[in-house]
Amino acid sequence: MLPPSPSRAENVQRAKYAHIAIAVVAVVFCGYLVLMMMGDLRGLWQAQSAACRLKAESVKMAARAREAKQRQFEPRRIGVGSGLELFAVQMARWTSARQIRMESLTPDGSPTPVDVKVSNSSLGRWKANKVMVQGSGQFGQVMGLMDEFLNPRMPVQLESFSLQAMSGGEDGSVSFQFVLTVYEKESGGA
Amino acid sequence: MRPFNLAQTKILERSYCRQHFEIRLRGITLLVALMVVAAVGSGSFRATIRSKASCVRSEVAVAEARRGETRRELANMEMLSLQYRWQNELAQRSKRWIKALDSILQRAPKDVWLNRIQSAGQGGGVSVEGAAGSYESLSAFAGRLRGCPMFSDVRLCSTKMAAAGSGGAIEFTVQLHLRSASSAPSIGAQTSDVPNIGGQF
Repeated sequence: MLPPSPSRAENVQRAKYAHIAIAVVAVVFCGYLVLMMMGDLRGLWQAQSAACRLKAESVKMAARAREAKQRQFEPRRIGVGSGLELFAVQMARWTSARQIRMESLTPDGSPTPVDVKVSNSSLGRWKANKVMVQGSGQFGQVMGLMDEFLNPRMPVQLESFSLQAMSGGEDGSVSFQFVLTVYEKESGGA
Repeated sequence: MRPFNLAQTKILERSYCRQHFEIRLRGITLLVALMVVAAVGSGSFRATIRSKASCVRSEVAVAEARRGETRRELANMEMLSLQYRWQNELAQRSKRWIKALDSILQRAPKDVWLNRIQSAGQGGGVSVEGAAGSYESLSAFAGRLRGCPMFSDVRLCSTKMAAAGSGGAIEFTVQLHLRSASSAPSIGAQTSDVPNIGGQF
């Protein structure tokens, strides 16, 4: 009589089923692992492509910024600022440099708020101050002073002018009156 | 005929079953080992990928912050550029008056003296007062002003003989208008928005 053994036909059958079940589990498990790895790889790829895109954009924007800086924004080109006080200071400099006597600089009335738009882009809200400047000096020097209004360092516009030869002014001296609109950024600084 | 040997058959069957049972067990063991290896490999691979991804993400965050900064800087520059354009447009409007003044001065003959030049309001009117040595000179001056494409409606408004002792000079007043600038800038803040100073000019 042989001793009982696990190597019976039923056990072999059971082992076969277990083998198949474990093979199925292995396949599912490996599939799960592959999916997870693919998900991680996808995340990495997305991050890398975002980094590439951002880098390209940054390079483009930096180039634009550099170009804009070179083109427009040397410090001397954008003005010394805006506002009546700064304008008065600037006028005093301009007139003293030309030996022009500035007799008065008078703001007229309260400032008018205006919305400034350039090419459909808003520059925000500004205050427009009307200012009258009176004085006297040599004609050539007064013309030079007027030329300063052509330099767009300040938001200033010459609205009207009057030049009058001074009585007995054989030396070419004239008295002048300018009316200017001086713009000032409402938020405080241009 | 060979006699049937039950014991031998049982032994053969048993060895056959054992052999197959062991094959199955080995297969199962192999699969389990394979799963363990795959899990370990996958885990280490995923850890590597994740650390790399987190590195890249931190780079992305830095690049995003830099991009935001550049964007702000660029927007600021664009705003300054617009402001510069606007200030330039304002200067161009001022230039209109100064060019007119230059043109009037250039067109004055030698024996015409200008005593007063003033702009008259927002409409582009200019009034010129002076003295001329003769009517011919005065006529020449007015003619030159009319010939200038910058001006329109050039009118000699008044003439009178100057006081005695002035060598027979003729005092005159000429009024003219600046032609409207074709390149009027499109600025929201028009000069009409700004209150006038009480009728000074």
